[in-house]
Amino acid sequence: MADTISIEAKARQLGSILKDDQVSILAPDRVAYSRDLWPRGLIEFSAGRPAPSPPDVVVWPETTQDVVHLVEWAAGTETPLVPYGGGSGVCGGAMPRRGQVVVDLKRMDRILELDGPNHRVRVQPGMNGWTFEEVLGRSNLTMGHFPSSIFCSTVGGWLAARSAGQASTRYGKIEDMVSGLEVVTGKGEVIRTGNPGAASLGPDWTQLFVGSEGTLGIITEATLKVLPAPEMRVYRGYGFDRVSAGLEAIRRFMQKGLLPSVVRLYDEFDTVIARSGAGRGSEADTLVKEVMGRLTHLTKPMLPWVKVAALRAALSKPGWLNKLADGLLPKLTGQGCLLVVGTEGRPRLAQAEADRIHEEVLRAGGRDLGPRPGEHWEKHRYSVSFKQSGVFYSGGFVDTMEVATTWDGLLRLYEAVKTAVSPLVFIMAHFSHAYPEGCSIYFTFAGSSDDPEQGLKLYDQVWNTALAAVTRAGGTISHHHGVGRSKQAFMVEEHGDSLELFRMLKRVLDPKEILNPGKMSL
Amino acid sequence: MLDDFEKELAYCAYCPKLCRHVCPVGNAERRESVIPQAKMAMGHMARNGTVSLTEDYASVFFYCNGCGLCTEFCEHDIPVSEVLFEARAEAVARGVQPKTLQNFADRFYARNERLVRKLHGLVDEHYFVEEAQVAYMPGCDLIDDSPDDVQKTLDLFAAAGVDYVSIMESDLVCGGYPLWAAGYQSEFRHVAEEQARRLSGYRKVILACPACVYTIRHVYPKFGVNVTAEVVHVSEFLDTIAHRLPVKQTVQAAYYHDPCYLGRWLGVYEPPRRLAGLVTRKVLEFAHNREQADCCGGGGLVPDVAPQTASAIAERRLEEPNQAGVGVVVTACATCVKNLGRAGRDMEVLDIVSLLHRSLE
Repeated sequence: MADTISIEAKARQLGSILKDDQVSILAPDRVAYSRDLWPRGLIEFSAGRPAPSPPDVVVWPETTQDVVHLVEWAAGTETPLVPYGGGSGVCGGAMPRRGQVVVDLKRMDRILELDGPNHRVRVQPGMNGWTFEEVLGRSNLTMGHFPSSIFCSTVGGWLAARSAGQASTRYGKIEDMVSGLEVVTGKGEVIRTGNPGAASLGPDWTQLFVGSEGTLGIITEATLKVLPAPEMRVYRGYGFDRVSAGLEAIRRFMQKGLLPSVVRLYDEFDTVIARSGAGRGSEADTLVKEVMGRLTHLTKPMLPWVKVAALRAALSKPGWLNKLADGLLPKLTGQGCLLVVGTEGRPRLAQAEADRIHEEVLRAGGRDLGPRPGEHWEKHRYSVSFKQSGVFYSGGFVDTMEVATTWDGLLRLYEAVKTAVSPLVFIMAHFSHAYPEGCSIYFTFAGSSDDPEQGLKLYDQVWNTALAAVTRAGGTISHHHGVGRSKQAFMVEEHGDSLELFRMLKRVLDPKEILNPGKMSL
Repeated sequence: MLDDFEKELAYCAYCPKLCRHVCPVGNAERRESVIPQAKMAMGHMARNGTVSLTEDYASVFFYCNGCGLCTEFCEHDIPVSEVLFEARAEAVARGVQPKTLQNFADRFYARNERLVRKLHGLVDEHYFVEEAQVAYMPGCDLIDDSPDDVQKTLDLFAAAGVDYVSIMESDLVCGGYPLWAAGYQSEFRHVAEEQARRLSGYRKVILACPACVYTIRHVYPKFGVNVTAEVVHVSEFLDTIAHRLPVKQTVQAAYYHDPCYLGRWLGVYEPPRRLAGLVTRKVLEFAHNREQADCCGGGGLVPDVAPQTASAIAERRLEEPNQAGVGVVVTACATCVKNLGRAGRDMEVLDIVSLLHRSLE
């Protein structure tokens, strides 16, 4: 039915539900909301298609009741709604299609209650991540949730996509921090989940909605746990000859029950990036621009080109680049792999934990590099994202893939993905988000082609190849970026028969299929 | 169009929205199309012809306070507001500027004429001395919205024994910032040339408007216009004579708000704070201060284009003193006083000149 209603008619109908300034069909709004940060959308953008499928209307609810009314209207007209927070997702989860209505939740961005005595906070979904941490910090509290998207992402987006922050090893992922939700289902029902404390009352309905990416309900409020802001942070860097040795060190201290906030093991090439100059660090692996800068410096006789031309030319020969990274570069630099470990909390406890980890790492063959690598990482922990622009401006593309598995399959997974995509794109990785039972691998790949259309084909080929390799190697296809559109073809392999359970829930909670359809293989 | 900024526009267009959290307009509107990344992406698309520059698309260029906080945060130092002001000029050239800015130049000149007359009514004629070496130029918003502060400024000069400053005798009370911000570049160039000719008759000119200090010092030269006179903000000048000001501490506590053009753009942070400290026992800092200070919402003609947005920005800025139970905010810009004052019903928002004057012994 939705397609039979004109854009103007939809806007008029929505204008009778909401205030005028809560509804827009202006061209710049429809273009701006036509994509999130899925790099495939950026390649399309570079091809001159900034909004291949813009939404018909954008709306800004201000209350839960507004959301209820929107859902009722959408169910009545069978018009799909696409919940939208910061639009920072990288899997196309917030990308609409023609005929759909984007529901921007950023006007619901208040802290409703900061419950200090019980270390809880009730917050609306549109709260910006950085602002949230700033406000909590003024009360000496923290969520401990620091995704690299923190400047642009929202609390609702974190919950919808099962986000992880840079300190997740200590504080957990967002699903470990949430104790309750208010959700509007596809039938317009308002469901409140959670209990004052731990409960033995059947399934945990909160977790049903976390990670559902707006397909089962629209999150309108969350109750989250908060913790005292750390009084001290201790960082230490270690060198290893091989990735496998670094992984063994992490496994050992994680299985001793130690809980560092930061654990990052960079593979050989990533180490070169992580230890080089300002503006690098964190997920800097991404930073092909740095990569190329370093390569250009180290291999000057072989790479006489500079900047844009060098980047494009080099990325067009991924096999050569990967061989260089695997073989020649570590020999040239002699750096091996870098492990950064950080602990935090009360000073004596943080130091004691750091000391205990230090013993374990040295016992596993690590070389002590002192505090500087970690301090460098902390200083530049968000810098990496700034580098994306340079890669796309140069005609290339860059993306990241975060997968996970248990310790016994980690190296196999790492090698399988690298081997599979090395002929197509330049690839590197670091290991972070560690658990007693396993760890996540954060791959960064960068490629280039002669024109954006070829770039799109290459991009799709890389993802299909990489995800197939992950599935074959027994890994999970997403640790914290979510599924959206980009990974949905692999949901069957990932979930098996459980996917049907998900689809059944969808039919119960959203019988008209109006909530973010076309995502997550639903 | 916008060829000088091809790389800047593209870099922002491909950026993962890393400065959205500091944009005052973006935070007030909470609309994806007016965060810095999106505004620049629109410029990028208009430049390469992906979209045609209609009034709708051009409108986003005018949702910018020119505060510069995005640039402060950007690791590429992209001068977003400078690019957007250039994009505004493109919009004006094509006649697709917002309706509220149609015929803006005519209104600018009409307002100027009105303010010239008003200024002569505010202070005694003996302050207008043509042969003076040092002149005081109050500026539009001070004359229009804080008219008492003109005489108060002159009183402060006198109290410090400064008798060599006259009010600039001119038929042009503005440095032209509004024309530059509105994208009326040919009119701006004309005003800049005229104003430069008048200013150059002095050794030093003391301005009350930070935006015009910035404009004269840094924008005029980009238009090939140079001013020989030393141009300073009134807080910078008062700071040099503060030791002679017979003032005492009469205010318990006040927050100091950094005007964007005085602070981030001109780097003047300490003089107004020192002045406030002369008469205030506790000069309190916003959590976001100096280089990181939030905008009041009054700059960039946002109050003309989106008055509710400008008010929302001001209300957000005043949340902190409100929550702290402090009833006084002092700043050093009449535009800030105006915009914050409109939003702060229970808050006293005043210029540093007014605060000092109140404490004259």
